[in-house]
Amino acid sequence: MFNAGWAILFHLRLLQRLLALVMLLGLVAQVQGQESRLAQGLVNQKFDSLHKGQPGKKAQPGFGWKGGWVLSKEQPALFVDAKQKATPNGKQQIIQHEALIQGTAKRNNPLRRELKETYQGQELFLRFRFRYAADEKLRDQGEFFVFWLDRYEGSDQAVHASHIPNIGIHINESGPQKGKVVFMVRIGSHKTAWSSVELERDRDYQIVGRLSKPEKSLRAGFTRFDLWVDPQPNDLKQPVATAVNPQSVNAVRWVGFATGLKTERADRIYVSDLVLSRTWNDVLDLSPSQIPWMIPQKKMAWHKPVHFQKEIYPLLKQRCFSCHAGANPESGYRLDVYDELRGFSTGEELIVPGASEESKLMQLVSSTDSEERMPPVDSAPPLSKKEVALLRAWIDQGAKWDHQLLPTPKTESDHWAFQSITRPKVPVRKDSKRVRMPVDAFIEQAYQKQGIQPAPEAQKSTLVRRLYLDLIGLPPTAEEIESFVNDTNPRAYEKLVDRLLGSKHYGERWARYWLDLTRWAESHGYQHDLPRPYAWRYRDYVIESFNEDKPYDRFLAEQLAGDELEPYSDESLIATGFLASARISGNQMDKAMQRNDVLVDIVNVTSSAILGLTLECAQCHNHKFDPLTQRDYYRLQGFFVNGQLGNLSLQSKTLPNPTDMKQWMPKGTFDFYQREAKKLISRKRFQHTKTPHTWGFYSPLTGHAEIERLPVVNRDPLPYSAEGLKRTKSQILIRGDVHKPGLEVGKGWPAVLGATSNASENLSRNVLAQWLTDRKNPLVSRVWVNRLWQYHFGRGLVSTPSDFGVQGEKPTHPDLLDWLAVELMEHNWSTKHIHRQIVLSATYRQSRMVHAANLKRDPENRLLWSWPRRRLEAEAIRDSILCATGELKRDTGGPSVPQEREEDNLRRTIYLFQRRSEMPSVMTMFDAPDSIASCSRRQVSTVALQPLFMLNSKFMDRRAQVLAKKIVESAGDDQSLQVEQAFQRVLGRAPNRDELSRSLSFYQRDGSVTEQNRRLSMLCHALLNLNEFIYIP
Amino acid sequence: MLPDQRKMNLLPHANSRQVLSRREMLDQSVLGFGAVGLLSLLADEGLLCAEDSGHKGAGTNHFPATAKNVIFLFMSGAPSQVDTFDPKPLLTKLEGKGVPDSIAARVPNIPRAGLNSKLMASPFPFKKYGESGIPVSNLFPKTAQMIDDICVLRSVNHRVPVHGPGECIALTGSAIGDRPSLGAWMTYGLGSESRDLPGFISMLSNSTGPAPQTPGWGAGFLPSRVQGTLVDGKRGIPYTQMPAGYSNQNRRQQLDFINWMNQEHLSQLGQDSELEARIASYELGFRMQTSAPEVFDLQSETGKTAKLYGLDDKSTAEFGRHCLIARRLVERGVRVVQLRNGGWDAHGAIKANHTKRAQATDVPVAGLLKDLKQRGLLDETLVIWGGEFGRTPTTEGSAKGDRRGRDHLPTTYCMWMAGGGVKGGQIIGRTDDLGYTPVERPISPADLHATLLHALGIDQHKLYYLHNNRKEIATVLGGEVIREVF
Repeated sequence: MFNAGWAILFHLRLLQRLLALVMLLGLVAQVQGQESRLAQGLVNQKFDSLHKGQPGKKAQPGFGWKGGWVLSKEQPALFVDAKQKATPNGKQQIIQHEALIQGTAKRNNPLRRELKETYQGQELFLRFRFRYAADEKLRDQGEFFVFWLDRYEGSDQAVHASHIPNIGIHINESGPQKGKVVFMVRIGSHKTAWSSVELERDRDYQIVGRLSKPEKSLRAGFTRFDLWVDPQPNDLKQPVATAVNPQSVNAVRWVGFATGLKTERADRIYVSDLVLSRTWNDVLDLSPSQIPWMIPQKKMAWHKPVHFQKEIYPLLKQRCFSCHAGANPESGYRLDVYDELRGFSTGEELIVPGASEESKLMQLVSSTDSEERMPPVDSAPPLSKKEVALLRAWIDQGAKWDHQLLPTPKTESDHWAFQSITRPKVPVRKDSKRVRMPVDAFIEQAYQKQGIQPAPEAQKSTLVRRLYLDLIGLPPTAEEIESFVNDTNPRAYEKLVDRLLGSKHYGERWARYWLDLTRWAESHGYQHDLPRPYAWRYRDYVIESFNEDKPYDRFLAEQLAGDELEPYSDESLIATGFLASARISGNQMDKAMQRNDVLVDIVNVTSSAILGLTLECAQCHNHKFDPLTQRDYYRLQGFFVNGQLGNLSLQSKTLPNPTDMKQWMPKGTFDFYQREAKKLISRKRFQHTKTPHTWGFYSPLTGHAEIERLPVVNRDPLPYSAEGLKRTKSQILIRGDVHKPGLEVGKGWPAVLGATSNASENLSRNVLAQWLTDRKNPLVSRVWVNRLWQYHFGRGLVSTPSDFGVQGEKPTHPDLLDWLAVELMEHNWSTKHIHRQIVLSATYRQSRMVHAANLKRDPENRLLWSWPRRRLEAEAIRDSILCATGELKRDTGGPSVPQEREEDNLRRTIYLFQRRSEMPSVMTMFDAPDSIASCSRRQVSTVALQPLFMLNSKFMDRRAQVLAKKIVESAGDDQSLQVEQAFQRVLGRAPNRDELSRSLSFYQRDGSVTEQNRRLSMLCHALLNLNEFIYIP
Repeated sequence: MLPDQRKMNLLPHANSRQVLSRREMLDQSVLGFGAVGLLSLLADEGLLCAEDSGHKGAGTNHFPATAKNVIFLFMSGAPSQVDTFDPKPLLTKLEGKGVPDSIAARVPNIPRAGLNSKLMASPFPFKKYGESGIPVSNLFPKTAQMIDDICVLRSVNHRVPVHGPGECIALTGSAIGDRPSLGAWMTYGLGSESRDLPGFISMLSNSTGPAPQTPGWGAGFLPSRVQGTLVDGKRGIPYTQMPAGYSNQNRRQQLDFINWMNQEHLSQLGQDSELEARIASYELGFRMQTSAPEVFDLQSETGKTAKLYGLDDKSTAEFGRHCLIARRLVERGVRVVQLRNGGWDAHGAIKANHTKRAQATDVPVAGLLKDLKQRGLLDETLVIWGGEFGRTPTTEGSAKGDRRGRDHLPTTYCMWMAGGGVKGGQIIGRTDDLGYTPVERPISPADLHATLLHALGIDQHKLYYLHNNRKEIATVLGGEVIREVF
C-alpha cells in the first residue's frame, strides 16, 4: 500500500487543486520524502507549517487545509514523535507525530486550523486519536477537552460553545453517571448528550463523530451530532451519544482542540490522526485508492534540463540583480548568493530546490497582484511565460548553482574594532617629566602631533575632592582634605587611591554605572509595572563584585550563565539578574510575543553592554552598516531561548532572607502587589513563600537541576513550562515577526567575530561567556576599558561606548585603547588595575585650564588638554548632600528603601526602591535612565525644574535645616564661626573674606535665635546648590 | 493661518534680546561640548535663532504652520466608537445576533475582537448636529454643538488590544514605550514660546482604571528638557511652592548669593557654557516659580468662564479645571498640553460608564472649544480628542441588560480634531456596517502624528535626533499626513 507513495508525492500540488471535488479532507504526512499517506498523522512538524500564512511553505499546508496549525500563545501544543500504533481494525499504521496538549487551568485553544474551503455539505464525518495521560495526582475536579467545528478561528481563549458543535470529554452533569468524566457531544453547552463511556487514562481512543443537516441545503444548520468511541465498521447505526439542537452552525471553516478551566497544568493530552471526510467508510479507514485522480495542469511546462550558466544566470542578472544583489540588496532579498536564496541570513527561503510551488521566488515573479509582483510593476514588465517556466524548471530540477561564478562571500571585515588586539608599544618619552604612567605617554604623543600644551597638575585640595567624588561618589570631609593636603609622603596620592578603591563605597558608586547598562530596576515594567521583590539581591551582587574586584571575565560568566556554572553557587545564580532585568509585560495575551519581547530585550542589552554592538536592528533585517545578519541575531538569541525569568530558589541556609516586603516598597506598590498576588492565588497560579529566592534567569535545559523556579506575580504571567523551554529551538523570525518563524539556526555568535562550533544546538551560555572573554575576542575588553575611561573623564576614547560598529566613532587614541585592553586581560581582568592606570596618571591629575591655542586646535578637548569637569550624577548629588549634612547611613546591601519613607533611613540613593514607573525624584530630575533600554552614557540636561527641586523640595529644605542645627550645636551662636563651618562641611574649605561677609548678610539684624537659625539654614541651602558642590572639580 | 511673522519664526523675544546663532554660540563657548547645555536652555526661552534648522530640531518650522499649540484630550480606557461618533443602525437590527460572516471575515486576527459574542445595539441615540449634520450620540450634547469646527476621524486603527501598549502607540507611535512622546518631539522641534513655563505640560484626571503610561509624556531618547512636565491640576508645577519661612525677598537674596558664588567659581575656571546654563536655570526657575502659580490660580477668570467649563458642577469641575488651565497655558505660549482623562474602560455596564465619563468631560471640552474660539485662539490651537483604541460592537461575556459592556477593539476607533487649521464639519474614514473595521481611508496613529507635526509646520522626515548614531524621527514606523484634515 505504500507503493503509491511516490506518485502521490509527485502529484501533491495537483491534488490540492481538486479539493472541492474530493470526498475527504485530510492531511498528508510526508516522512523523509519516502512515504505519503492521506489522513494519517496529525501533523508533521518538519514539513507541515506550524502557522497560518507562513511564507515559503505555502504549498504544503497539508491536504485540504488552507494553512498550517495555529498554536495558542498561552500554552501551545508540542509536537512529539509517537511510536507505532495498531489500529482497531488490526492493520499496522505508523503515526508519525502526535500533538501534546497541556492543560492551562483556563480556556485554551492550543491547536486550530483552517480548511481550504468552507464546508457546507449535508454530512461531515470526523475522527481523531486521543489519549489522556495520567495526572501525577488524581483529582476529582473533572476534565474538559473537546474538538470543535466553527465558522471562525476565534482567539486563544475563545469559547467555541454558543451553538457550536463540540465533541470530547466533560464531567457528566446529569443522570446516573453524574460527576464522572465521560465522552460527550454537544451543539452549544446547553444541548449536551452524555455517553456512558467513561474516560480511562493512558488509553488510546479513536473518536468518531458525524455532523449532519436535516436537509441538503447550504443554509441549513448542522443540527445533529453523533458520537462513536472506538467504533467497528458496522456500528454506524449505534452511536454512543447524539446531540440535537435546531440552532447550530451551517458551515465549518475552522476546527480546533480546546481545553478548559478544569484541565490542570500537569494534564497531558495526546491527539493525532485527525481526519475529516464525507463518508463513514472513509473516516474509518482511508486508503490511497480512494484518492481521486488528478487533472492536467495548464501551466507551461519545461521538460528539458535547465542550464544554470546559460539560462538562469543571464535571466537573474538581467531581470533581478540590479536591485537584488550585492551587500545591501533591496528589501533585504539577495539573489546573487545561493545561501541567501535558501534564506541563510534572513530565515526566509526564496527557493526550495525540487519544489517550485513552495518557492517564494516563483510566487513573486508569477503573481498577478501588482503590489506583490516582481520585478515591480512600475519599473519593468513581468517575466515572460517562458522565463517563469525556466525558473520553475530550474528549481524543480534541483536549483543547481555555479558557485564559482557566484560564490558565497566570506563574512569578514576590516573594521578596526573587529581586529584582534595586540599590545601596542608604549611610546618612549624620555624628555617628558609629565609622564607618570604609560597612559600619559600615549596622551602626550597625541599632544605633540597636534601641538597641544598640557595643563599643569591640579592643586592637592582639588585632587582629593576629585578622587573622592569620582571613585566613591561621596565628597571628602574637611578633615580628610586637610590630612591629604598636609601629607608630605611622596606616595600620599597612591595611598589615597588605594584607600578609596578599597572602600565599600567604591562598589556602590561603580555598580550604578553597570546597573545603567543592564537597565536594572525592581519591577516588571510596562503598564502594570508590578514589583520584583527580590531584585535587590542582584544590585548587591554587582556592588559586591566591584568591591572585591571580581575579574571582569568571571563577572560576565556569572551574569550570563550563573544558573549553569559548576559548582552551583547562590552568588552566581543571583548574578543572572543581569539577564533577568528585562521587562515583561503584564497583560500581553499573545504569549509568543510576551516571550519574544523578553528575548529581544536580553539580546539587545547583552550585545550593546558587553560587545558594544547595536545588534537590535538585525532583529528584523540584516544590519545596514555592520557585517551582522539576522542569522547572527537569532543565533545569539539561541543561547537564551531555553530559559525564562523568574523567582529562583536559593540554597544557602545562612543567606539573609528578609520577607517583610512591606518595609521595602512604597505602600501603594506593595498593596498593588498583594492584590495581584491574591488574584493569582485564587487561580492557583501563585503562593507566597518563605523560601529564600532571587529574581533571576534559569534554563531547565542547561541550568542546575536543584534550582527551583517559583511562581511570579504579574497580571498575566508568562507561562512557564520546563518541557516547552527544553524543546525550544532558535529560529529566525522572518522580518522580526514573532508569528513567522523561519529557518532553525542553532546557537552562536556573530560570524564576523569568528566561527561557532558545528554542534551549536548544544552550546551553553557558559560557552558564550568563554567566547566573550577569550583573549581573541576583539570587543569585550576594548569596550569595558573604554567605559571605565568614560566614567573617569566623561567621554570614552571611543565616544560611542555601546557602538563599536562601523557607524560608531573611531577612537581618539587607538593604541591607548588597545594597550588598556591588553592590560585588563593580562592582569586577570582586574577592573581596579585599570582604574589605577588611569587615576594615577598625570592626565587625570591635570587642572582645568582654558588655553586659547589648544581650544583652537581641539575645541572639544578630545585630546584631554584640560580636566573635563562634569556634573555629578543624580545619585551622587543626593549622596553628597547627605554626606555634607552628616546624615548618610552607610550600611551596605539588603532590601531597598521606599522614597516615601526615606527620612527614616537616609541611605545611599542606589538603595532607594526603583520601580520603573515611579523612580526616586532626584533620579528623574537629574537624568537618571528610565531602565527600559541599556544606558551607556547619561545625558546632562539643565532645566528650570532642577533648581526648583533643589530649592523648594521638602527633602532639600530638611537637609538644610538639619545642617544648620548641627552647625549651631557645634559653633554656638557665633555667626562667623557658623559660616565658616557651613563652608567647611559643604565645600570642604573655609570661606574667603568676601564670601564670609556676603554670607553674614543672610542673618537678620535683630532676629530671634530661631529666626537666625532659619537664616543659617538658608545659607546652608544655598551652599548645597552651588556648582562648586555638584561638579567634580 | 497665522500672521506672517509667526509663520517663519516663532520667536517672540527675538527683537528684544540679542539673538545668538548656533554657530556664534559654539564660538563663544570655551569648551564646545558644554555648549549644548546652554543651547538647550536657551531654546526653551525662544532665544535661539536656529540657522541650521532645515534638518534638525531647534526653533523654527519647515513650512507655514497652521497651528501653534496642541491640546491633546486623551480619553484613556478607550471610548466606544459605535456609542460616540460612529452610529451603526444595523447594530440595533442585529441586536443579540452573532457577527455576520461577511463582516467577521474582515476582522484581523487579534487576540480579542469579540467575534464569538452577541452584537449589542448602542444604548445611546444619535442626532445630527450643525450645518454639517454630523451625527453625535447623546453622550456629548455640548461638544456636538461645536461639530462644525470638528473633523471626525472614524477609521483610526492599529493592532494592539491592550491598554498600556495601546496608550504608548497612541502617544509615542510604538507599543514598546521606549520612544519619545509626540509632545516631546513637538517641544524638541519648536521649543516653548513661554519664558517662564515648560514647553510641554501634562495633567492627569480621574486616574481610575489602567495606569497612566509615563512614556506618554516622556522624552525617550530626546534631551530630558523636552519631556512633559507632569502637573497636578490643583497644585500646579511641582516644587514651585517655597518652603515655610521663605519670602520672595529672602529667596531673592539666596539666589543672588548662589549666582554670585557660581560666577566667582566660573571666573576661576574660565568660560564654561554648561556652568553658565546652570546659572541661568536658577533665574528661569525663579521666574517659573513666580509666574506659574498665577496660571493655576483661576480666580481671575469670570464666573461666566468658570461656568462655561463646568467648574460650578462637582461632576465636571476636575476636568473643567484642567481644560481651563490648558487654555491659560497655551495663551502663555506652552507648546503642548496633554490632558489625560481615565476610566473609559467599559467592559461591563457601558451605559453607566460612558454616561458618567461623558458627563464629566462634555461640558469642559465644549467649553474649551468655545472659549478658544471666542478668544481667537482656536485658529492657532489644535485640539485632538480620543483614546488608545475602540470597543467591540458585540457585548463582552454573558451579562444582561444594562450590565452589558464592550471589550477592547483596536481595529477601528474614532478620534476628532478641531482648530489649528483643521477643516471642521467633516468626517474622514468610513467603517463597515457594524463598526468593526475601516472600509475607507484607514488611519494609523502614526498618520495622526505626522498630521499633528504637519500642522505645527514640522516635516516629519526632517525633524530628527541623532541617537545611537541613527537619525531618529517621530514617525519611525511610517505615517503620512492626512491632507484632507486641513
